[in-house]
Amino acid sequence: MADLKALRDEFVAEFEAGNDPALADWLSRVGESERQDLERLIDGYLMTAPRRAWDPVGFETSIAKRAVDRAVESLDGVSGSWPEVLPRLRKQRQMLRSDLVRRLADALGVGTTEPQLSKVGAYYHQMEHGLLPAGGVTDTVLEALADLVGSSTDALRRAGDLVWVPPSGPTTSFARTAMPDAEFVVADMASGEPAVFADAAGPPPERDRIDELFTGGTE
Amino acid sequence: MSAFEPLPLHELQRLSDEETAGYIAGAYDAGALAAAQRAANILAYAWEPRVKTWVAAKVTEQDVDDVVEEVLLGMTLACYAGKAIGRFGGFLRGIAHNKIVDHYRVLERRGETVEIDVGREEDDSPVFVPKTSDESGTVDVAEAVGRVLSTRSELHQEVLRLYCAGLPGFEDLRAKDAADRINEKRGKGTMSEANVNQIFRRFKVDLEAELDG
Repeated sequence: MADLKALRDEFVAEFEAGNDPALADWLSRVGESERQDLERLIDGYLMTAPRRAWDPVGFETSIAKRAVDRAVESLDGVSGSWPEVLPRLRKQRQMLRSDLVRRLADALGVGTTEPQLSKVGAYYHQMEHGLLPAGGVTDTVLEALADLVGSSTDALRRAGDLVWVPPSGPTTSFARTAMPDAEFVVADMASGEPAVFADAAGPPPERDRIDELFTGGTE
Repeated sequence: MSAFEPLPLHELQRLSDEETAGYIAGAYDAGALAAAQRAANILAYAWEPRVKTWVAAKVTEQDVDDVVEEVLLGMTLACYAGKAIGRFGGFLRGIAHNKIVDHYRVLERRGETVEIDVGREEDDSPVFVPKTSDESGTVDVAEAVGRVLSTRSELHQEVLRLYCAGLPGFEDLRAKDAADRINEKRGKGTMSEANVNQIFRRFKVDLEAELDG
Protein backbone atom coordinates (compact mmCIF):
# COMPACT_ATOMS: atom_id res chain seq x y z
CA MET A 1 0.00 0.00 0.00
CA ALA A 2 1.41 3.35 -1.06
CA ASP A 3 1.87 6.24 1.32
CA LEU A 4 -0.65 8.53 -0.34
CA LYS A 5 0.01 11.53 1.88
CA ALA A 6 3.72 11.33 1.12
CA LEU A 7 2.94 11.24 -2.59
CA ARG A 8 0.61 14.20 -2.19
CA ASP A 9 3.33 16.11 -0.33
CA GLU A 10 5.79 15.30 -3.06
CA PHE A 11 3.32 16.63 -5.64
CA VAL A 12 2.77 19.78 -3.57
CA ALA A 13 6.51 20.43 -3.35
CA GLU A 14 6.85 20.12 -7.13
CA PHE A 15 3.79 22.28 -7.79
CA GLU A 16 4.88 25.03 -5.43
CA ALA A 17 8.34 24.99 -6.97
CA GLY A 18 6.63 25.85 -10.26
CA ASN A 19 7.64 22.60 -11.94
CA ASP A 20 4.18 21.84 -13.44
CA PRO A 21 3.96 18.30 -12.10
CA ALA A 22 1.78 16.06 -14.26
CA LEU A 23 -1.04 14.73 -12.11
CA ALA A 24 -1.34 11.66 -14.32
CA ASP A 25 2.27 10.71 -13.50
CA TRP A 26 1.52 10.77 -9.80
CA LEU A 27 -1.65 8.77 -10.24
CA SER A 28 0.19 6.15 -12.27
CA ARG A 29 2.48 5.54 -9.32
CA VAL A 30 -0.27 3.86 -7.30
CA GLY A 31 -2.51 0.88 -7.93
CA GLU A 32 -5.94 1.40 -9.46
CA SER A 33 -7.68 0.90 -6.14
CA GLU A 34 -5.75 3.81 -4.58
CA ARG A 35 -5.86 6.16 -7.54
CA GLN A 36 -9.09 7.87 -6.61
CA ASP A 37 -7.94 8.47 -3.07
CA LEU A 38 -4.70 10.02 -4.24
CA GLU A 39 -6.53 12.14 -6.82
CA ARG A 40 -8.88 13.37 -4.14
CA LEU A 41 -5.98 14.25 -1.87
CA ILE A 42 -4.21 16.18 -4.60
CA ASP A 43 -7.49 17.79 -5.69
CA GLY A 44 -8.03 18.88 -2.11
CA TYR A 45 -4.65 20.58 -2.15
CA LEU A 46 -5.19 22.23 -5.54
CA MET A 47 -8.59 23.56 -4.49
CA THR A 48 -7.07 25.38 -1.53
CA ALA A 49 -3.48 25.96 -2.65
CA PRO A 50 -1.94 29.43 -2.45
CA ARG A 51 -2.91 31.42 -5.51
CA ARG A 52 -0.39 32.39 -8.14
CA ALA A 53 0.68 35.97 -7.53
CA TRP A 54 -0.47 38.58 -10.01
CA ASP A 55 2.09 39.31 -12.70
CA PRO A 56 0.88 41.80 -15.32
CA VAL A 57 3.67 40.85 -17.72
CA GLY A 58 3.05 37.10 -17.42
CA PHE A 59 -0.67 37.72 -17.78
CA GLU A 60 -0.28 39.29 -21.22
CA THR A 61 0.69 35.96 -22.80
CA SER A 62 -1.44 33.74 -20.57
CA ILE A 63 -4.41 31.55 -21.38
CA ALA A 64 -6.18 33.48 -18.63
CA LYS A 65 -5.98 36.67 -20.68
CA ARG A 66 -7.49 35.00 -23.74
CA ALA A 67 -10.32 33.62 -21.61
CA VAL A 68 -11.15 36.87 -19.81
CA ASP A 69 -10.94 38.84 -23.06
CA ARG A 70 -13.44 36.48 -24.68
CA ALA A 71 -15.75 36.77 -21.69
CA VAL A 72 -15.61 40.56 -21.71
CA GLU A 73 -16.08 40.74 -25.48
CA SER A 74 -19.09 38.49 -25.12
CA LEU A 75 -20.58 40.43 -22.22
CA ASP A 76 -19.86 43.95 -23.40
CA GLY A 77 -19.68 43.66 -27.16
CA VAL A 78 -22.32 44.05 -29.81
CA SER A 79 -22.22 40.48 -31.14
CA GLY A 80 -24.03 38.67 -28.34
CA SER A 81 -22.20 35.53 -27.28
CA TRP A 82 -20.34 35.02 -30.58
CA PRO A 83 -16.96 35.77 -28.92
CA GLU A 84 -17.72 32.91 -26.56
CA VAL A 85 -19.22 30.53 -29.10
CA LEU A 86 -17.45 31.06 -32.44
CA PRO A 87 -13.83 30.42 -31.36
CA ARG A 88 -15.00 27.32 -29.50
CA LEU A 89 -16.85 25.91 -32.51
CA ARG A 90 -13.95 26.72 -34.82
CA LYS A 91 -11.42 25.02 -32.56
CA GLN A 92 -13.69 22.01 -32.16
CA ARG A 93 -13.48 21.69 -35.94
CA GLN A 94 -9.70 22.10 -35.65
CA MET A 95 -9.70 25.07 -37.98
CA LEU A 96 -7.36 28.04 -37.92
CA ARG A 97 -9.16 31.32 -38.36
CA SER A 98 -7.39 31.91 -41.65
CA ASP A 99 -8.63 28.54 -42.90
CA LEU A 100 -12.19 29.23 -41.83
CA VAL A 101 -12.14 32.68 -43.44
CA ARG A 102 -10.98 31.22 -46.73
CA ARG A 103 -13.71 28.59 -46.68
CA LEU A 104 -16.31 31.14 -45.63
CA ALA A 105 -15.38 33.46 -48.47
CA ASP A 106 -15.59 30.53 -50.85
CA ALA A 107 -18.99 29.43 -49.51
CA LEU A 108 -20.31 32.98 -49.82
CA GLY A 109 -19.16 33.13 -53.42
CA VAL A 110 -17.31 36.40 -52.96
CA GLY A 111 -13.95 35.07 -54.10
CA THR A 112 -10.94 33.83 -52.24
CA THR A 113 -8.45 36.33 -53.54
CA GLU A 114 -7.48 39.76 -52.26
CA PRO A 115 -8.91 42.16 -51.34
CA GLN A 116 -12.13 40.16 -50.82
CA LEU A 117 -10.48 37.59 -48.57
CA SER A 118 -9.09 40.24 -46.22
CA LYS A 119 -12.46 41.91 -46.06
CA VAL A 120 -14.26 38.71 -45.10
CA GLY A 121 -11.45 38.08 -42.60
CA ALA A 122 -11.89 41.49 -41.03
CA TYR A 123 -15.64 40.99 -40.66
CA TYR A 124 -15.22 37.51 -39.20
CA HIS A 125 -12.59 38.85 -36.80
CA GLN A 126 -15.15 41.42 -35.63
CA MET A 127 -17.68 38.64 -35.07
CA GLU A 128 -15.25 36.67 -32.89
CA HIS A 129 -14.36 39.78 -30.90
CA GLY A 130 -17.80 41.20 -30.26
CA LEU A 131 -17.35 44.19 -32.57
CA LEU A 132 -19.83 43.46 -35.34
CA PRO A 133 -23.50 44.13 -34.57
CA ALA A 134 -25.12 40.71 -34.74
CA GLY A 135 -28.34 42.05 -36.25
CA GLY A 136 -26.49 43.21 -39.34
CA VAL A 137 -25.09 39.80 -40.21
CA THR A 138 -27.32 38.13 -42.79
CA ASP A 139 -28.65 34.59 -42.64
CA THR A 140 -26.58 33.81 -45.72
CA VAL A 141 -23.40 34.34 -43.71
CA LEU A 142 -24.72 32.46 -40.70
CA GLU A 143 -25.86 29.55 -42.85
CA ALA A 144 -22.43 29.24 -44.47
CA LEU A 145 -20.68 29.65 -41.14
CA ALA A 146 -22.93 27.12 -39.41
CA ASP A 147 -22.12 24.61 -42.08
CA LEU A 148 -18.40 25.13 -41.59
CA VAL A 149 -18.38 24.93 -37.79
CA GLY A 150 -21.01 22.23 -37.38
CA SER A 151 -23.79 24.37 -35.94
CA SER A 152 -27.11 25.69 -37.25
CA THR A 153 -28.16 29.08 -38.57
CA ASP A 154 -30.73 29.33 -35.83
CA ALA A 155 -28.24 28.50 -33.07
CA LEU A 156 -25.78 31.11 -34.34
CA ARG A 157 -28.53 33.71 -34.68
CA ARG A 158 -29.67 33.02 -31.13
CA ALA A 159 -26.11 33.25 -29.85
CA GLY A 160 -25.72 36.59 -31.58
CA ASP A 161 -28.95 37.85 -30.11
CA LEU A 162 -27.93 36.93 -26.59
CA VAL A 163 -27.58 40.25 -24.84
CA TRP A 164 -26.08 39.99 -21.41
CA VAL A 165 -28.22 41.37 -18.62
CA PRO A 166 -26.65 41.58 -15.16
CA PRO A 167 -28.51 39.42 -12.61
CA SER A 168 -30.06 42.47 -10.98
CA GLY A 169 -31.48 43.64 -14.28
CA PRO A 170 -30.47 46.05 -17.01
CA THR A 171 -28.47 49.03 -15.86
CA THR A 172 -26.42 50.97 -18.33
CA SER A 173 -25.62 50.11 -21.90
CA PHE A 174 -22.23 48.43 -21.97
CA ALA A 175 -21.86 48.13 -25.72
CA ARG A 176 -18.39 48.94 -26.95
CA THR A 177 -17.56 50.69 -30.13
CA ALA A 178 -17.77 48.61 -33.26
CA MET A 179 -14.93 50.51 -34.89
CA PRO A 180 -11.96 48.42 -35.93
CA ASP A 181 -8.85 48.71 -33.78
CA ALA A 182 -5.20 47.89 -34.13
CA GLU A 183 -5.92 44.22 -33.40
CA PHE A 184 -7.24 43.85 -36.90
CA VAL A 185 -3.98 44.42 -38.62
CA VAL A 186 -1.65 42.33 -36.53
CA ALA A 187 -1.19 38.63 -36.34
CA ASP A 188 -3.13 36.86 -33.63
CA MET A 189 -0.11 36.38 -31.39
CA ALA A 190 -1.99 34.32 -28.85
CA SER A 191 -2.98 31.62 -31.32
CA GLY A 192 0.02 32.00 -33.55
CA GLU A 193 -2.24 32.46 -36.51
CA PRO A 194 -1.16 34.68 -39.33
CA ALA A 195 -3.18 37.76 -40.03
CA VAL A 196 -5.37 37.21 -43.05
CA PHE A 197 -6.53 40.76 -43.33
CA ALA A 198 -3.47 42.90 -43.51
CA ASP A 199 -5.11 45.74 -45.38
CA ALA A 200 -7.81 47.14 -43.14
CA ALA A 201 -6.85 50.77 -43.30
CA GLY A 202 -9.97 52.82 -43.77
CA PRO A 203 -13.42 51.94 -44.96
CA PRO A 204 -14.01 50.90 -48.56
CA PRO A 205 -15.20 53.69 -50.83
CA GLU A 206 -18.57 52.10 -51.48
CA ARG A 207 -20.58 49.21 -50.17
CA ASP A 208 -20.17 45.94 -51.98
CA ARG A 209 -21.69 42.48 -51.66
CA ILE A 210 -19.44 41.59 -48.71
CA ASP A 211 -20.60 44.67 -46.79
CA GLU A 212 -24.21 43.73 -47.54
CA LEU A 213 -23.67 40.16 -46.35
CA PHE A 214 -22.13 41.19 -43.03
CA THR A 215 -24.01 44.40 -42.29
CA GLY A 216 -27.13 44.23 -44.41
CA GLY A 217 -29.39 42.85 -41.72
CA THR A 218 -31.49 39.74 -41.40
CA GLU A 219 -32.72 38.51 -44.74
CA MET B 1 -27.80 49.81 -9.27
CA SER B 2 -26.00 48.69 -6.13
CA ALA B 3 -23.35 50.72 -4.29
CA PHE B 4 -19.96 49.59 -5.41
CA GLU B 5 -16.51 50.82 -4.43
CA PRO B 6 -13.65 49.85 -6.74
CA LEU B 7 -10.58 48.64 -4.86
CA PRO B 8 -6.98 49.50 -5.67
CA LEU B 9 -4.84 46.65 -6.95
CA HIS B 10 -3.04 45.96 -3.67
CA GLU B 11 -6.36 45.55 -1.84
CA LEU B 12 -7.82 43.47 -4.64
CA GLN B 13 -4.92 41.07 -4.36
CA ARG B 14 -5.62 40.58 -0.67
CA LEU B 15 -9.19 39.37 -1.26
CA SER B 16 -9.93 35.66 -1.00
CA ASP B 17 -11.06 33.89 -4.15
CA GLU B 18 -14.64 33.90 -2.92
CA GLU B 19 -14.46 37.61 -2.15
CA THR B 20 -12.93 38.30 -5.55
CA ALA B 21 -15.73 36.40 -7.28
CA GLY B 22 -18.28 38.45 -5.33
CA TYR B 23 -16.41 41.64 -6.18
CA ILE B 24 -16.53 40.83 -9.91
CA ALA B 25 -20.28 40.26 -9.78
CA GLY B 26 -20.80 43.45 -7.78
CA ALA B 27 -18.63 45.50 -10.09
CA TYR B 28 -20.37 44.25 -13.22
CA ASP B 29 -23.76 44.71 -11.67
CA ALA B 30 -22.86 48.33 -10.91
CA GLY B 31 -21.55 48.95 -14.42
CA ALA B 32 -17.93 49.21 -13.19
CA LEU B 33 -16.59 47.28 -16.15
CA ALA B 34 -12.91 48.07 -15.77
CA ALA B 35 -12.97 47.09 -12.10
CA ALA B 36 -14.74 43.82 -12.91
CA GLN B 37 -12.26 42.97 -15.64
CA ARG B 38 -9.22 43.79 -13.49
CA ALA B 39 -10.44 41.42 -10.78
CA ALA B 40 -11.33 38.74 -13.35
CA ASN B 41 -7.81 39.01 -14.79
CA ILE B 42 -6.28 38.44 -11.35
CA LEU B 43 -8.56 35.51 -10.52
CA ALA B 44 -8.14 33.73 -13.87
CA TYR B 45 -4.37 34.21 -13.79
CA ALA B 46 -4.20 32.92 -10.22
CA TRP B 47 -6.04 29.72 -11.09
CA GLU B 48 -4.57 28.96 -14.50
CA PRO B 49 -1.80 26.60 -13.28
CA ARG B 50 -4.18 24.58 -11.15
CA VAL B 51 -6.78 24.34 -13.90
CA LYS B 52 -4.02 23.26 -16.26
CA THR B 53 -3.02 20.49 -13.86
CA TRP B 54 -6.58 19.18 -13.72
CA VAL B 55 -7.10 19.39 -17.45
CA ALA B 56 -3.71 17.93 -18.41
CA ALA B 57 -4.50 14.84 -16.36
CA LYS B 58 -7.53 14.05 -18.54
CA VAL B 59 -6.94 15.58 -21.96
CA THR B 60 -4.35 14.92 -24.65
CA GLU B 61 -1.53 17.42 -24.78
CA GLN B 62 -2.58 19.21 -27.96
CA ASP B 63 -6.03 19.99 -26.53
CA VAL B 64 -4.99 21.11 -23.05
CA ASP B 65 -4.70 24.85 -23.70
CA ASP B 66 -8.06 25.00 -25.50
CA VAL B 67 -9.86 23.22 -22.66
CA VAL B 68 -8.10 25.35 -20.02
CA GLU B 69 -9.27 28.44 -21.92
CA GLU B 70 -12.84 27.14 -21.91
CA VAL B 71 -12.66 26.47 -18.15
CA LEU B 72 -11.33 29.96 -17.39
CA LEU B 73 -13.88 31.49 -19.77
CA GLY B 74 -16.67 29.59 -18.00
CA MET B 75 -15.27 30.66 -14.64
CA THR B 76 -15.17 34.31 -15.68
CA LEU B 77 -18.69 34.34 -17.10
CA ALA B 78 -19.99 32.59 -14.00
CA CYS B 79 -18.31 35.16 -11.75
CA TYR B 80 -19.80 38.06 -13.71
CA ALA B 81 -23.22 36.46 -13.35
CA GLY B 82 -22.74 35.93 -9.62
CA LYS B 83 -23.00 32.17 -10.07
CA ALA B 84 -20.04 31.23 -7.85
CA ILE B 85 -21.27 29.34 -4.83
CA GLY B 86 -19.41 27.89 -1.86
CA ARG B 87 -15.65 27.40 -1.75
CA PHE B 88 -14.22 28.73 -4.97
CA GLY B 89 -11.85 25.81 -5.51
CA GLY B 90 -14.66 23.28 -5.47
CA PHE B 91 -16.77 25.49 -7.70
CA LEU B 92 -13.99 25.82 -10.27
CA ARG B 93 -13.14 22.12 -10.05
CA GLY B 94 -16.76 21.44 -10.98
CA ILE B 95 -16.55 23.77 -13.98
CA ALA B 96 -13.30 22.11 -15.04
CA HIS B 97 -14.83 18.68 -14.87
CA ASN B 98 -17.89 19.72 -16.85
CA LYS B 99 -15.71 21.29 -19.57
CA ILE B 100 -13.60 18.13 -19.77
CA VAL B 101 -16.77 16.11 -20.19
CA ASP B 102 -17.89 18.55 -22.92
CA HIS B 103 -14.54 18.07 -24.63
CA TYR B 104 -14.99 14.31 -24.69
CA ARG B 105 -18.48 14.70 -26.11
CA VAL B 106 -16.99 16.70 -28.98
CA LEU B 107 -14.34 14.03 -29.56
CA GLU B 108 -17.04 11.37 -29.61
CA ARG B 109 -19.03 13.37 -32.14
CA ARG B 110 -15.89 13.62 -34.27
CA GLY B 111 -15.62 9.84 -34.05
CA GLU B 112 -12.38 9.92 -32.11
CA THR B 113 -11.66 7.19 -29.60
CA VAL B 114 -12.16 8.26 -26.02
CA GLU B 115 -9.80 6.38 -23.78
CA ILE B 116 -9.37 8.50 -20.70
CA ASP B 117 -11.80 8.03 -17.86
CA VAL B 118 -13.12 11.42 -16.82
CA GLY B 119 -15.27 10.21 -13.96
CA ARG B 120 -14.72 8.49 -10.68
CA GLU B 121 -15.72 4.95 -9.94
CA GLU B 122 -18.36 5.81 -7.42
CA ASP B 123 -20.14 8.23 -9.70
CA ASP B 124 -23.26 7.23 -11.57
CA SER B 125 -22.39 9.71 -14.27
CA PRO B 126 -19.06 11.05 -15.46
CA VAL B 127 -19.69 14.23 -13.56
CA PHE B 128 -17.39 15.44 -10.85
CA VAL B 129 -18.92 15.78 -7.44
CA PRO B 130 -17.10 18.49 -5.55
CA LYS B 131 -16.29 17.40 -2.05
CA THR B 132 -14.65 19.79 0.34
CA SER B 133 -15.17 18.17 3.71
CA ASP B 134 -11.77 16.49 3.84
CA GLU B 135 -9.84 19.72 3.35
CA SER B 136 -11.86 22.59 4.68
CA GLY B 137 -14.29 21.16 7.19
CA THR B 138 -17.28 22.51 5.31
CA VAL B 139 -20.17 20.29 4.44
CA ASP B 140 -20.21 18.39 1.19
CA VAL B 141 -21.31 20.84 -1.48
CA ALA B 142 -23.07 18.24 -3.56
CA GLU B 143 -25.10 17.06 -0.59
CA ALA B 144 -26.02 20.62 0.34
CA VAL B 145 -27.09 21.33 -3.25
CA GLY B 146 -29.25 18.21 -3.19
CA ARG B 147 -30.88 19.21 0.10
CA VAL B 148 -31.67 22.77 -0.97
CA LEU B 149 -32.80 21.66 -4.42
CA SER B 150 -35.25 19.21 -2.90
CA THR B 151 -37.06 22.12 -1.26
CA ARG B 152 -37.77 23.63 -4.68
CA SER B 153 -40.65 22.93 -7.05
CA GLU B 154 -40.05 20.70 -10.07
CA LEU B 155 -40.03 23.77 -12.35
CA HIS B 156 -37.52 25.65 -10.21
CA GLN B 157 -35.28 22.58 -10.00
CA GLU B 158 -35.34 22.41 -13.77
CA VAL B 159 -34.41 26.08 -14.03
CA LEU B 160 -31.56 25.68 -11.57
CA ARG B 161 -30.16 22.65 -13.37
CA LEU B 162 -30.08 24.66 -16.57
CA TYR B 163 -28.62 27.83 -15.06
CA CYS B 164 -26.18 26.95 -12.27
CA ALA B 165 -22.47 26.49 -12.93
CA GLY B 166 -19.80 24.34 -11.32
CA LEU B 167 -22.23 21.81 -9.98
CA PRO B 168 -22.57 18.21 -11.05
CA GLY B 169 -24.79 17.79 -14.08
CA PHE B 170 -25.78 21.45 -14.21
CA GLU B 171 -25.69 23.12 -17.62
CA ASP B 172 -24.44 26.65 -16.94
CA LEU B 173 -26.66 28.33 -19.54
CA ARG B 174 -27.26 32.05 -19.60
CA ALA B 175 -30.52 33.16 -18.03
CA LYS B 176 -32.14 33.85 -21.39
CA ASP B 177 -31.19 30.45 -22.77
CA ALA B 178 -32.45 28.74 -19.64
CA ALA B 179 -35.76 30.59 -19.91
CA ASP B 180 -36.03 29.76 -23.62
CA ARG B 181 -35.37 26.09 -22.91
CA ILE B 182 -38.12 26.02 -20.27
CA ASN B 183 -40.54 27.83 -22.57
CA GLU B 184 -39.84 25.43 -25.43
CA LYS B 185 -40.67 22.53 -23.18
CA ARG B 186 -43.49 23.94 -21.08
CA GLY B 187 -45.01 26.56 -23.32
CA LYS B 188 -44.39 30.21 -24.10
CA GLY B 189 -44.43 32.61 -21.19
CA THR B 190 -43.68 30.02 -18.53
CA MET B 191 -40.31 31.56 -17.68
CA SER B 192 -38.58 34.90 -18.18
CA GLU B 193 -34.94 35.82 -17.86
CA ALA B 194 -35.78 37.86 -14.77
CA ASN B 195 -37.54 34.84 -13.24
CA VAL B 196 -34.43 32.71 -13.79
CA ASN B 197 -32.25 35.27 -12.06
CA GLN B 198 -34.67 35.54 -9.16
CA ILE B 199 -34.95 31.77 -8.75
CA PHE B 200 -31.17 31.51 -8.75
CA ARG B 201 -30.66 34.36 -6.27
CA ARG B 202 -33.00 32.72 -3.76
CA PHE B 203 -31.37 29.34 -4.28
CA LYS B 204 -27.91 30.84 -3.78
CA VAL B 205 -28.93 32.52 -0.53
CA ASP B 206 -30.37 29.29 0.84
CA LEU B 207 -27.46 27.18 -0.38
CA GLU B 208 -24.91 29.51 1.18
CA ALA B 209 -26.83 29.37 4.45
CA GLU B 210 -26.80 25.58 4.22
CA LEU B 211 -23.06 25.53 3.47
CA ASP B 212 -22.36 27.81 6.41
CA GLY B 213 -24.11 25.23 8.56
